[in-house]
Amino acid sequence: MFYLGCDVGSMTTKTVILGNKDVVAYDIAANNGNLTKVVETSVNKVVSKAGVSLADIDVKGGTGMGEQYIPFDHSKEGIIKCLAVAVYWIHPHTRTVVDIGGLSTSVISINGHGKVLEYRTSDKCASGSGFFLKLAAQALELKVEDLGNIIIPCGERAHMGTQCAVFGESEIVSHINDGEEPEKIAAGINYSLGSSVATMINRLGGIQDIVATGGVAKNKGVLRAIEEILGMEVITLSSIDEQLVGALGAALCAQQRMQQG
Amino acid sequence: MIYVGCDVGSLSGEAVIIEDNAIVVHEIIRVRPRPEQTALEVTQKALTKAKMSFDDIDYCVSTGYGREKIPFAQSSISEISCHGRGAQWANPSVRTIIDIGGQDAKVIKVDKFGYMVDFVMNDKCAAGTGRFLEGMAKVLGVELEDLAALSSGAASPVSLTKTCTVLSQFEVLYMLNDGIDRTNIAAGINRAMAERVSKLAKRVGIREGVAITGGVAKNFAVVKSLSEVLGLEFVSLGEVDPQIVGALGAALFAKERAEREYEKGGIEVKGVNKKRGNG
Repeated sequence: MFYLGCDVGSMTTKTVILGNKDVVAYDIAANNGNLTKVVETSVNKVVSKAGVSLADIDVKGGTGMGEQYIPFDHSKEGIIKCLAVAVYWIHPHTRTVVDIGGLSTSVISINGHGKVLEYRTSDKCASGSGFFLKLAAQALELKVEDLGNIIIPCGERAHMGTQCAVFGESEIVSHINDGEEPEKIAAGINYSLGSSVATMINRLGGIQDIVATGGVAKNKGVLRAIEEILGMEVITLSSIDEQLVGALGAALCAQQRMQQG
Repeated sequence: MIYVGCDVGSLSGEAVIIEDNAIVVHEIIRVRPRPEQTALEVTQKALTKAKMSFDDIDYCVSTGYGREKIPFAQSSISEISCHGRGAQWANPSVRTIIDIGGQDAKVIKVDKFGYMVDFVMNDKCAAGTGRFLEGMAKVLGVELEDLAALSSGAASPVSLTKTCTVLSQFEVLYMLNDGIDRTNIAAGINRAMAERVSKLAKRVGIREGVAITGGVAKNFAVVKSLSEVLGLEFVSLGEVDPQIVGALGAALFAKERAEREYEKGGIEVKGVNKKRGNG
């Protein structure tokens, strides 16, 4: 039996195929151009990687803010539930899920059975989002992946005075013009993003284990900043790419629905 | 006497030269990497246009966010005061100034002499500032200056649901993807901008005689929307370019300070005893 999950996010589309126990194939595609096409291409890729055809997969789940662009019949589930279900499925000790995506950050508190107790999403403003990191990396002429590897002690980081992603970009340019070292600026950016996420975690109680998901969870600098502020460990799931958790959740939720009839 | 006002903002730099209480020339340039560079270049450009040199300047006041880094200015004054002063000089009936710059927006209330009595400003969030329009123009693939023209004749302007500049950019991207007409999107953008600014204006309260200044005042569609949202007509600044009002105010303060210091006879003002015209 195969289960398909598709998470159409703000910046990327993630598709996974789940076999009886594990993810057997996946794809992460940038949302460039026509979204329906992006989703279609991503799904076709995954299906052929898994060596099956779309018609063979009878359980399909969709989630994410662009879920309506999925061009085939599927069962729909909210992203919060998908994240909670998938993280709990992999790591049952999880009590807090922190998902830092392209345009929004969500903190979800779950109980010992993986049920969502409470959650907060910052989706009004792009500060503290992956998109801000992308802008910042561009301004620093760094790859966004490399931005996360820059971890330096506090006191040496450049100060970021603004929360706004747009103004942040200008502030980075001013730092560069003032002759500040790119490493210090990068560390300042990671810390600034980490501190806004840490505030959200604190508001929801910050119960361990805390698991980070989403594209920004690949940025170690941000995760270390959150840990430094909270004084708690933030873990990532080693068995799955951080970006795929929502899509996996969509597949698991669809599976649960089917089993419940 | 030659007085210069130099306004170094976040996206542009302006210089105004005044003589005998009249504007001689003004210049506007895009900012250079450093504020002092911007100030020097824009002032030099204005001086060249007026066939003058730095030695001819009797007093110079700098303003704008880079105002404290301008080596040739005798003093610096906040752009809030300068906008009030400049706008009131251009039209004495002005009591409220809405200034929309590259990276901030301000609503300033002034008395009948052009002195600031109250103000409110947004410099925390790019929504409702020039940067918002700049980001939107980029997504639409047009020049910032063409955004107003593009929106003309829109039958049903779209409504943007987000406030954030970045999130709105994505919203517009989705609209373009869905094949929504660019004219209607552009009109929706200008409308969103106006609504954001009007919220700021309502916080400080509007006093009759409202002028609009700053680079965004040149976007006639935003100005028209803002006038509709606020339910009032803006007063005219006559011949004065709305983008130079800050620099103009600085030049007027330069004149006032030079005259005051000359009267006191205390501090020696550079060139103040020099004969020039009827000076």
